[in-house]
Formats: sequence, structure tokens, C-alpha cells
Amino acid sequence: MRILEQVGPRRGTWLTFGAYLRSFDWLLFLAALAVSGFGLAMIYSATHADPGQGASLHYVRAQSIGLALGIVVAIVLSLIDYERYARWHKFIYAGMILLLVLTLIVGEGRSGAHRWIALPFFEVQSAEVSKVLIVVTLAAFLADGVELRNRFRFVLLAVGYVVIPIILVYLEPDLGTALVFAAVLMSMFLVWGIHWRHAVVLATAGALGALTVLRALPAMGVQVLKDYQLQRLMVFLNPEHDTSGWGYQLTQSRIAVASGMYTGKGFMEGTQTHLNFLPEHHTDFIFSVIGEELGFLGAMILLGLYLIMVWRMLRIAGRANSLYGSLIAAGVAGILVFQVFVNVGMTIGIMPVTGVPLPFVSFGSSSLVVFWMAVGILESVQVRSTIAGYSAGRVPLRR
Amino acid sequence: MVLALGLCFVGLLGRAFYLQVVKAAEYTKRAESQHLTTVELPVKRASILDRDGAVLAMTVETVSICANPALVDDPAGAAKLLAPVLEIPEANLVEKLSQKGTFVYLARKADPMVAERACLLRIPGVFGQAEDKRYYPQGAVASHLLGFVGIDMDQGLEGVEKQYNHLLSGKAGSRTTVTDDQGRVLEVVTETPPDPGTDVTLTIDKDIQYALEQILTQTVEESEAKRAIAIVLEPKTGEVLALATTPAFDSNLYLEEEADDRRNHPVTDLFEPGSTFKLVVAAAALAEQLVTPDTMFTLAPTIQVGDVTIREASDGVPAQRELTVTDIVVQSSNVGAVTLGLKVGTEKLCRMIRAFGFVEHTGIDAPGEVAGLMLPPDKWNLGTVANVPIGQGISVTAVQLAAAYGAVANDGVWIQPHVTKMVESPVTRRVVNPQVAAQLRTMLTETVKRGTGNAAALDGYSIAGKTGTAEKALENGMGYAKDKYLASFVGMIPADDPQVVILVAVDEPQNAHLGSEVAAPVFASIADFIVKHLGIPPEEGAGE
Repeated sequence: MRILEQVGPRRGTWLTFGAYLRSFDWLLFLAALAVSGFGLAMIYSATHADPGQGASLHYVRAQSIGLALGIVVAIVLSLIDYERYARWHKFIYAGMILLLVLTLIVGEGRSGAHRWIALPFFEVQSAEVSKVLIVVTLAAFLADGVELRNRFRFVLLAVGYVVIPIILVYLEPDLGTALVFAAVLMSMFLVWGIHWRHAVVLATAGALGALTVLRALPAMGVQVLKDYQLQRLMVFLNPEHDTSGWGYQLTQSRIAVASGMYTGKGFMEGTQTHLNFLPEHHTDFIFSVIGEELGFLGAMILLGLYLIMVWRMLRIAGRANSLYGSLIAAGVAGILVFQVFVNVGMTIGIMPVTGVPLPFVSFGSSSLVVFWMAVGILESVQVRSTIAGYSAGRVPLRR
Repeated sequence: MVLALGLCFVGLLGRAFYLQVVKAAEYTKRAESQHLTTVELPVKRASILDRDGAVLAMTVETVSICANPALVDDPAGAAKLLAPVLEIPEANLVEKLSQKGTFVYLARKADPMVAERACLLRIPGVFGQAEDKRYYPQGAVASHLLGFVGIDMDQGLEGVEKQYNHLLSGKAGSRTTVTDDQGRVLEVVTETPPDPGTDVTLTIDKDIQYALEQILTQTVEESEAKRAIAIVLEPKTGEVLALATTPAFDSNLYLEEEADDRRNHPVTDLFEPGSTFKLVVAAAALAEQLVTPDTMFTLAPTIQVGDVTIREASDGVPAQRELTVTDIVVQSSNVGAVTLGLKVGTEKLCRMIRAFGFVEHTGIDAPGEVAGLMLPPDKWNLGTVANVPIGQGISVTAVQLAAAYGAVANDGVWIQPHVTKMVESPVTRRVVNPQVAAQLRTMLTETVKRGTGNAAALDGYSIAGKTGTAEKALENGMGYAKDKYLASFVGMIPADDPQVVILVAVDEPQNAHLGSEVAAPVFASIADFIVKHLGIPPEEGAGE
């Protein structure tokens, strides 16, 4: 079987199916599959006894459908030449902005938020989808302007490129995803080769900006962040003395994780989870369930799987046959590391509550499908750089 | 970049390690304190029964009206509604309902009807709570003996309730359950069932007890006495059939009583026995074979011991008279008793007093018992030698005295008196041999027949007994009050095979003060009730 490349620089060339399978990064794929399976099991454990959801498999079924969809989409994307996205990046970017604006207008969500767009059969969390869209478009923008990387104006332009969706997402409000976009920009800048002076200026500006938003402006009476957001951000420092509900949540999370000890209380045996002392146990706080039921050992295994994925992503970034591919891989790796660190850090009390899900694990089809999309795109980068590597003699041909 | 990434993962793992390994025990404890709930399984306090199984003390469920002041929005309004129902002043309720905290009792152990009416008001924050209450269905009967328990039902404070608290209270159980965040019980982890208390059966016969209390109350009224006490003892077993002191009180309302009226006086109070004690001197003289009942003494109206002069109680005693030992007891001769005492000697008299159980605690199973007060033999002075034989200068309890007469009734064997069946093998001790005991009983029988105890006589029955009229010692211990007496009578029936020993003591009677006038007739009415109640048959040719 041969796959005809339709679009991109290799247009008209053929990729054999065997070469595709050989160059496919199975370790990345299997690690993602393992983490997804891990997540599915933990969602089952966390929710099978939840009251009020009717069938005990409600969440697991929904997540399984998301996983199946994600894998199919990933395979399809791995077959598509990623270079196509670069050509269309302005349209994709425009579409993304449109999606985010549309979400602000017709989007739905809890307590006045605008988070998702209701489609006939499912709901799409536009912020999640825009994560993968920002990666492929920002990568193209930076790759296109690689010649201008010593110009600070271009760097500022790139910052502006990301700040627009950041603002839109922030207005939903979704502070977590807004920060994810910033993480994408940072990781891509590093791979892109930003001038160190520019990096220092940006970092300083960022720090000053954060300080202004968190301290100076509230002191002057301008609330950029709403009170509850500020409280959420700060509560992790001292959750026991907080009464807002987030303090309770964080304390419960710590209790659940810590009472898991070395090997945990056993799958589906977590007392704090099942007795409902730990709220949000299948979404943002799924890691607390893992910590409680599988202990330090389970946490190490999960973080190990993530580390394997990050390693493979950075490897793809390093071996990609185009800067565009490298930037995409770096961006995805940035999202993954950022979300894992922020989410797990939140459950164990070293990061503030920002509401980012645990990749591949937290309940939520949008997030799951989007991460699988990212895996698919990275596989596409991997396959194409390996094929190209054969002809360039960089990669020894294997049987 | 790889460095930053590494730091992220090391940071996460380090923190996880810190929580899950270093701090694990602490957080595990917190987790358990959240989902494990231990509740006490209450146990019902056991009952106290009389010798025939009639309930004298029991536990009933009542409802206490409580409030959570934090949930009461309008204390004044709530108080206005509750005051007429609970019959508590409004201001009182307002104060309680305005307190800080989350729990306050408004009315503890309320009448069920009152509780229901209060709950039907449906005042937010006011609720009823089931609570056990101690109930004494016989009212004031045997209240001094039964005692009472604290309002929390966990501690017997007086009487049998206190003495046998460990049996009655039982042991509350506990149940540890897994509960969810709403407090719903999901699973029982451990359960220790409550260990129910043991019912305590008294040796008391509630009918005799009731009769005793009625008679004593009447006695106190008629003689305008401060108090009257009585003991009915079964000499062959040491079982106390009734033990009363009046004025009585209702254990259900113990808080409203004066502390002094709640004392179980026959057990806790000492008095100088007076002439009833002459039996001990006679017993010592007979037991030492120094005299026989018929040994004759020539006695003057007074006797001088050192600088103490003892005279007969009544005037008109001839300057010189001949009395047998029996006559000394029958006529209650002070000079005779002292003469016998001098003959016996201090040491042997002390030994006999001790043998009759007047010095040590009797070991009766009612709380608060005191031991008798007697100078040790080496401290006796001539005054003591002159006074003890006539029952002055020594203090005993009513229970000690009853038990001593019990020994005479029981062929010379003293038995530890007791009020419950929990004492299965009472202490026994031979005091005198059966012959001496029989001789003593004969003397006591003569006393009732033709001597000072005549008023104790009961048609159809032979009664053995002795009167006593003791001058009461001044509270400062310096001599005796001239007009305060303790009139007593201790006797047994039937005389030749005594079934019961009855002690009667009337404290500070006003009109008459002699034991023969005040106490002996009371003995007769008690004995009258008891022979009928116990079905003791009349004897052929006995009595008048």
C-alpha cells in the first residue's frame, strides 16, 4: 500500500505503508495509549459509585468514545503531511480566533462562563481545540519569520500573535488555557533560537506584568483578575486557613494523596475518593485519586510514562527535517510538561489552582481528543523526517 | 530546556514523596478522622429490685429539650413561645438561646407531653433529644438506701446506686463506621456491643420497708423528734429486711432535699448507745464465767469510780438491794452494769466490745459506713471504765448495734449485715457460745416481760429486747446535753428462735424521752406488722 502525498513540498511523492509503520514512533504512541488507559481506569474507579449519574459507566463510556475518536483522528493526522498546515496557517489562525470569539458569544458554561459550543451530538471546548491550533499556526508563523528572529519587533509580533487568543480565552474565563498558550510560546521561542537579550526583556516584562496584575492594579482599584481568581491563585500557599471551598478542595487532595503512602490503598479502594471527601475527583483532581489508590508507586509510573512521551517529543523536535516540525513538537511538549506540572503540582500543593486538566487522564473528551490530535501530528512529523532522513543518509535504512 | 523539564518532574516526584512517605502517617490519620466515625452505643442502667423482684429503681427514656443557639434567629420570639410550654421564665430562655456555641439544654428530661408540645412548635434550632432518666417507682421508699444518680446517668452518687455503680452502669459499647462526606454510614468497621449492667437485688422487703417508714414518720410527728431510724435484720443470714430513717425523701427529686436528710443515718451516724449496751457487759461476764445469770450482787443507788459517780436512772432506789445479773439487765441498773464492768475488767470488756463488732466497720454494703469510736484499752481512764458499761463514752452506729443483737439472736454468731444479694458469703464470727447467747436472750425476754421493755410486748409472741436512753454528747465533746436524748429499743422475735432483730432509735424526742416510753411501743407496732407480713406464727402461752 502506498500513500500519495497530496500537498506540501513532497507533493506527488509516495510513502510506502511499510516505511510509514517502521518510522512511526511506537513508543510515543504506546505511552500515550498507556496513559489514556490509566486515565480510563482511574475515571472508572473514581466515578463508578458516584451518586446521581444513573449508569455507573457514564463517565467511562463517554471517555472511551473520546479515546477511540482521538486515536482515529491521530492516525488520520499522522498520515497527512503536516507541512500542509503551514500553508494554511493564516486561515487556521483566523478560524481559531473566530471560534474563540464565537464561544464568547454563544458559548455555554457553568455560572456565566462561556466554555463550550454545543453541537448537535456533542459539545466542543473551544479552548482545548485552540491549543492544537495555536501550535500549528504559531509554529508556521515563527518558521516563516526565522530570518527575522534577531529583530525585536518580530519577536513582539510573535508575542502579539499569541496574546490575542490568550485574551479571548482569558475572557471565557479560562486562565489555565491562557497560561498554556504562554507556555507554547516560550517553548517554541527556545527551539526557534530567540536572542537571549530578547528573552531577558520578555521575561522581565512578563514578571512585571504579572506583578502589576496581581499586586499593583488591585491596589489601585483595577481588577484584572476577579477576586475569586486571585483567591484561587493564592490559596494553595495556605489551604488550611481558607474558607472559600478551594482550601477545602486542596486540603482534601493532599489528604487523599498522602494517605495513599507507598503503594496506595488499592484500585477502587480509595476512601477519600469514594466517600466523596474529594470533590472533582474525575476531572482536575484525578491525580489525587491515583495518589490515594496507587500511592507513590502509581504516581511514579504515571510521571514516568509522561517523561517517556516528553522524551519522544523532544527527540522528534530534534530530528525533524524542518524547523516547522521542530517547533510543533516543541510546542506540544511544552503544553504537555506545563499541564502535567501545573495539574499534578496543584493536587499536591505546590502550584496554584488554575484549572488545567491532566493530559490524557482527566475526564473530558475535548482535551483527550486534542492531545491525541497532537500525537498524530507529531507522528506525521516523525514519519516524514525519517523518510526524508533515509534519502539524506542520516537515518540508516532498517529492514 | 531539558534542565527545566527535569526540574519539573523532580519537583513533582519530590513533593509526592514528601507527602506520601514522609507525611503519610499524619495525613492517613486525618483521612481516617474524616471517614471513620466512632459513636458510643449507650447502655441502659440496670434496675434495683427488692428481695421479691419488685422494681425500686429503673431507667426510663425521656426527651430533653435542647437548642442550637447558632440556628435560633430570634431568641426573644422563641423564648416567648417556649416559656409557657416548658414553664421556664422567659428571661431564662432568652439568655440560654442567646449563648454562644451550638448546644444548650433548655429542659432536661422533660415530661413527654411537654417535650412533644415543645417540639411541635417547630422553632428552628430547638429540638428534642432522647435521654435516659432514673426513675424510682416506689417514690420515697428506701430512698436513703437506694441513693440516686447524677443527671448524666453515668454515676451513682449515693446509696446502692453508688455502691454497685460498677454493676448497674454496665459498659457502653462503641461502633466505628465508614461515613461519606454527608455523614451517611456506609459500612461498619468494628462494633463493640454494650455490656448491659447487672440488676442488683436487695435483701430489702419493700413492704416491711414501707411499713417501717410509715411508722417512723408517725413516730417523728407524735414525739416531735428530730429523726427516727429503724433496722430490721434477719439474724440467721445477716440480711437487712428494712433500713429506714425519717424524714424520708424522694429519690426522684433528690436535688430538692437537704444534704443532711439524704444521709443514710443508720450507717453513717454515730451515737452513744446507752442501756442497750449493757447486754455487752453481761455477755462478757457470762462468757468469762465470772457470773451466772443468777449470781447475786448487793448494790447501792450509786457507785463511785475514781471521781466519777454513776447513779441509777430513777429515784427511789433503796439504799441497798440484792440484784441478780438478770435483774441488772431487766431493771437496767446502771450501778449493776458498772459493777459487772469492773468485775470483767477493761481488757476483757474491750475484747467483747470488739467481738460484737462495735469498733470495726460491719462491712454493710451501703456507702458511707463509719466505724465505732472507742478509746483503745490502754487509754481508758476511770471515767471510761465507769461509762462504757452503761453505753456512754462509746459511739456506735445503728447497724453495729443491730448486728450485735443479731449475734445474740443467732446463737452467738455475728454475721456481716448486708442490704443486697450481691453479698453471697457474708463474714461470720463467733462472739459467745450458744449457751451464753441463750442466757442473754432469756434476760432480754425477762426485760420485756417484767422490766423496762414492757411496752414492746406483743400479744401471742415472746419478745426479747432492751431499752436504751442515752444522753446525747454535746457537739463540742465536753460532757452531755441535759435535755437531749436518744431513745432506743433493740429486740428480737420470737425470743427463743429469733426470725428478726428490730432496732428502733428516736433522736431527740420532745415529750417523753425514755426508750421504754418512746422506742419500745414503736418496736411493738413494727413487730406487729412483721409477724403478720412474714407469717411468723404466735406461740402457745407466750406473751400476756
